[in-house]
Amino acid sequence: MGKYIFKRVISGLVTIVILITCCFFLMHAVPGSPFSKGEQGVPPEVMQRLNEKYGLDLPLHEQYIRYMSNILHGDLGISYKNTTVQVNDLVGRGFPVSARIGALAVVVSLLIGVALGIVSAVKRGSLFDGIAMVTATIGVCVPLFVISVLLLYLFAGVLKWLPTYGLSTWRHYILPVTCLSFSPIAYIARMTRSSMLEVMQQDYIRTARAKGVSEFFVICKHGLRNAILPVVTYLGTLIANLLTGSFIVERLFAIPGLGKYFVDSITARDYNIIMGVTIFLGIFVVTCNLIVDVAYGIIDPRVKMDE
Amino acid sequence: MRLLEIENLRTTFDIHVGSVQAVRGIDLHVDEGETVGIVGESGCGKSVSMLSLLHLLPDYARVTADKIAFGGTDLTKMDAKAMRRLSGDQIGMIFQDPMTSLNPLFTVGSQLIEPLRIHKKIGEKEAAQIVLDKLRLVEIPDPESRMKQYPHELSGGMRQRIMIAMAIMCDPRLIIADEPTTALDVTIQAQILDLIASLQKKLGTAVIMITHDLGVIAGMCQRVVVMYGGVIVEEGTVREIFYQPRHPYTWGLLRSIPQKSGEKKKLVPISGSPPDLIAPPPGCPFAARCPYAMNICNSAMPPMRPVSDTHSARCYLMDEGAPDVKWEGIRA
Ligand SMILES: Nc1ncnc2c1ncn2[C@@H]1O[C@H](COP(=O)(O)OP(=O)(O)O)[C@@H](O)[C@H]1O
Ligand SMILES: [Mg+2]
Repeated sequence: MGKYIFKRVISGLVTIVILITCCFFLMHAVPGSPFSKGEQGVPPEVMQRLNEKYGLDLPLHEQYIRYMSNILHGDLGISYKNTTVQVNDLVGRGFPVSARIGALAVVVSLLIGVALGIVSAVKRGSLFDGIAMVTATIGVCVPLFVISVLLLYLFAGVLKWLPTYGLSTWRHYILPVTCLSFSPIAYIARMTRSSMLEVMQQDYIRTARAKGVSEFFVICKHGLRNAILPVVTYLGTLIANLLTGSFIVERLFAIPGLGKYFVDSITARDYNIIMGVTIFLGIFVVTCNLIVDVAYGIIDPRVKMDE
Repeated sequence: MRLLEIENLRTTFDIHVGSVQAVRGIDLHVDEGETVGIVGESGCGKSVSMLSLLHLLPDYARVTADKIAFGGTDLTKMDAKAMRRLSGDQIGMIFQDPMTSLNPLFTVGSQLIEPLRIHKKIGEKEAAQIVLDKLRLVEIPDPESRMKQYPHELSGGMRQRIMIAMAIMCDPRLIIADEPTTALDVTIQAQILDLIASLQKKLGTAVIMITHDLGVIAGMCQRVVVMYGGVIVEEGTVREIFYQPRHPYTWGLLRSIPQKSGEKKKLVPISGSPPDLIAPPPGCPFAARCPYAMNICNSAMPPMRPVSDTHSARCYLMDEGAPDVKWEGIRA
């Protein structure tokens, strides 16, 4: 187990180094300096001084080494558009907001999605199953922004039950979390249902029943633990997606999260922020996947983690 | 003492292409401590009849019976929930494939302890002690460490021993073994059969031994029931079935036992295939493959006719005036 984790950490680090390198050279392949402001431009001598100050006049490989060593020290650099802003601070401010909403959405998706999937599988062919699965199919197909606008219009606009923007009270969380969870719930429900249907046909389920295990424990112990495996695999992607913030939801509900900063920096062509945020997200995704894989190995003893 | 008594058990699966009449009215009884064999080719309804008894079939199966009594209790009025209190406690079941019959995600120990925790009101420690005792009884070496292992870490033979230990965990009155060796290596098969036979002697439990191999029956059963096409075609004591069989299907089964005594292994398979159970023939299910079939065999199901108190068969050849066809032994 320790050996497996060690291996995975190493391969994760390699992935991240490759990611940083790609980001760095792509950014430098973009023509112009971050300080060339459109057609008007900065006076040449000012530009010269700025380039010197931020090391942009150095040969590319030296800049690369500098950047790498900064990142090793946990420094993602500064915003070139507003040089008083540290990328670290930006991530430090935006990520907790995004992560809080995202984590809530992950928990909500899992609880509701898995529960819907189990009930649909157990009551296969019933009215409940039919309604749940039609809804789930719609949920998987309809894009996030359509659902978000619809819910916002209905619950905040027409019914006026819920606030439209900000995050000051718990009621502010309801709409964004619901929007974010909508399609994961649908996806998890469908996945749980089909895997549950397959698992319930297995011989070991019959063995459990023959032992006298009650139907509740047959489903929730012997069945669910097996049926949940594909959901666990999907969890890595889900956590990474939801916790890093959704641009659409953060824009719509005016939430100061990472997703909003990220897209703002892209429209402003603030390359250092783009890179910083990309690298942070990369590390986060790699870590999520590692944790999920280890969790999978704990749930399923057949996964040989020492090989 | 009668332990189990079944009358006119019928099981039908309603599937999209029609109704599969897997079991078409079987009568079966097992006495306390008795070992009864059920033989027949695969697909003749052996497993389904036992699974019907225990309410272990999917919900599209329709099960009816005139009588199912177990130790004096009427099981026909029991629902699946009430049945769960019996199964695993008074009735232990051993399945065909030990590779798929254990849950891959739980340790062997936790799966073994389950029936005790459900049916006996005892503590964790006491239960663990009983599990260890049973594991020793089924001759599993080093039971303490086996309990901590997962099914995939054990061999097929070892897993079947685990399944057997699980079946006898609550000291049942009846063990149903559904082809317990079919999925195993030939070398392991004999060991597992010996184990079941010796446990039966030691514990005095009644056993229903399902197999498609009459050879298995000879060694351990007192009575044999021969099934074909969802019905019982012949039943009797082991002696009666082996030495005075009356049904041509039983003759075919006897001839298909591999003969090791001669210089060459002689094995005569029965030609043809079993009947379609969605539209079963109105007559004897074996008529299409029977070398002695008469017109009547195709049109009406022959009734079960007694030969002795313990022996009966379902064949028109037993009628007066029927052609004189006799069993002439395996060599004929
Ligand atoms: N779940 C099921 N659905 C539909 N048909 C089934 C099902 N289980 C068994 N059958 C059919 O019932 C018949 C008897 O099967 P079974 O009792 O398993 O035979 P065996 O004597 O080999 O144990 C077979 O024709 C089989 O195809
Ligand atoms: Mg079978």
